[in-house]
Amino acid sequence: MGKVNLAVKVGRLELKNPVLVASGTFGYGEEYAQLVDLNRLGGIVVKGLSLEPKIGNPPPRLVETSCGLINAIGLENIGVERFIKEKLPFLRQFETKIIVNIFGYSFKDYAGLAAKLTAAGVNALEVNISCPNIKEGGKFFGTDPTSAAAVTKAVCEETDLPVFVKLTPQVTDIVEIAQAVIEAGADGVSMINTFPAMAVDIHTRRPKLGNITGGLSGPCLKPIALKMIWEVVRSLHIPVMGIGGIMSAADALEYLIVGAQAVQVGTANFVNPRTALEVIDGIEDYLRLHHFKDIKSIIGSVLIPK
Amino acid sequence: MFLETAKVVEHCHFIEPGAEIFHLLTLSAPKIASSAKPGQFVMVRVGAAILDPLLRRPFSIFYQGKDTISLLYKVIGKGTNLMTTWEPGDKISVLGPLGKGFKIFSSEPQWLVAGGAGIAPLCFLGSRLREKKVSFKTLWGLRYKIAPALMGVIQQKLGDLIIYTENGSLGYQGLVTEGVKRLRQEEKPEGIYACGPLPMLKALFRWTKEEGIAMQVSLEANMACGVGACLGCVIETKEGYKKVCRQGPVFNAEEIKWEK
Repeated sequence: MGKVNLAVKVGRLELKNPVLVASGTFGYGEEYAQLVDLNRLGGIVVKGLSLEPKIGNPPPRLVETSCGLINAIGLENIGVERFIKEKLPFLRQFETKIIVNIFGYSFKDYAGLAAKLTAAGVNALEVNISCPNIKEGGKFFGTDPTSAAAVTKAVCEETDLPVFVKLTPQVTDIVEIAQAVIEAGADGVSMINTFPAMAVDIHTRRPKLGNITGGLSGPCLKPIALKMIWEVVRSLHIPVMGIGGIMSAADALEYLIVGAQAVQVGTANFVNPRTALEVIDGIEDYLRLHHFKDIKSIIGSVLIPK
Repeated sequence: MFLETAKVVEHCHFIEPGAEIFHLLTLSAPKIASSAKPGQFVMVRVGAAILDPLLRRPFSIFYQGKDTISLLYKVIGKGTNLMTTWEPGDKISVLGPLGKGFKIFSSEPQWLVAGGAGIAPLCFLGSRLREKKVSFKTLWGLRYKIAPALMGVIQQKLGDLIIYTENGSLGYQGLVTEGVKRLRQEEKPEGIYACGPLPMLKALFRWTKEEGIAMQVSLEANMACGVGACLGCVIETKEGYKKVCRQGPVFNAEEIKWEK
């Protein structure tokens, strides 16, 4: 049995394997270091950071639904300064790529975050443009191609790091948004973010979340994410990190086959903290089974009947 | 903290007419068992091969054996419902021990005050107090009586208990929050450990504050990771949001913003 090559290049970001852990599901890495050999991961996408610390939404913040989880954490985070001082030195010990997810309320916020993190030394940035309550007329940055491009440009002007823009699925045409951010300088897109959702307690007739609504993640999202990625890849041929309900190597392989160059394991980390490691092993087994020597042979290899 | 494949050793179902139903699951999990402290909890994976229920379920440790942990639970949803089908020999993924447990008060007497399945962490604590020869009393509030066999298990760990049931089918009729007032006429506790439904804990907190009695409470919250990563299980405290999984589940009652 020869060795199989799992290394991929997503835009300018080189990864030893295509399996990362998604923002918001792996804390700042240290929470899981006792259980997971972080050195084995392709990369860690750190919990979303803002310029200032954010306290997040009132509880309850979580509700489980069939094959899914709705969260309304509200982007609670310690702020970029404390991250750089307290969390980054720990993460740097590991042989894995550190991708920092950032969000802001204005172009200036995004630019400031990009500048600070670039100076601090991380491997890439993931720009979250799917958060509500933003200055620009209350509209999501992520739902308007012009604003999405402008945020991307603001970030790219402040950094020479690879930049990925994390897209919301709540748009009419995700290809249009993806194209806009790529033209504005992004290396690729991470897709998809959670899907807006809610749940109601029928006995109290109250929403189950303190924030009323939240974002749905987990295995129920996978078919939606796959279809959106397939649309983006076949139209634009751009680097995509696939996210949405990956619980196993088989799930990850579906993403790779439709054309994602890497995948992020999210909600599954809560269920089994070692999911990402099992996904890496499972991909390797699959490649051997099908006599592929290189993972690149399967990326985008989906066979569409004529 | 360990991620352990535990084996079901014993699964008892305490079902009797007119009694509150409880289930007692004993798992062989040597690493978790040897490091668990009273008040800590575990996250149990319920549907190993299936994705619904998706998330692990948190359970306080009811008692600790040499290589085993026991969990006392009631069926409240599809996760716990599925758990009742587990049989000896079944393999279960368990993450733990998690969170911060109880700090033992320095003076005596002490009281354990439980509501319903809230007896679970207090039973583990009580057996530790007995080992340390700390003088304590246990008050347990239930809706209805429980099976004598379960009472036997609990008495073996805790000694005699003062029971309150809402329908009077066992012990005194009434709420455990009335029970503490009655017992207070006999003695003043130097500290109370409590676990149970939120309304019970709120009422207890108001009373302990009037009486000037220190109290530690074990809280529950919807939880995804159990290790402080998802930030989903926060509760509001005087110092802002705190994670039940990591900074709790045991808190000083004073810290909590109970009105929220």
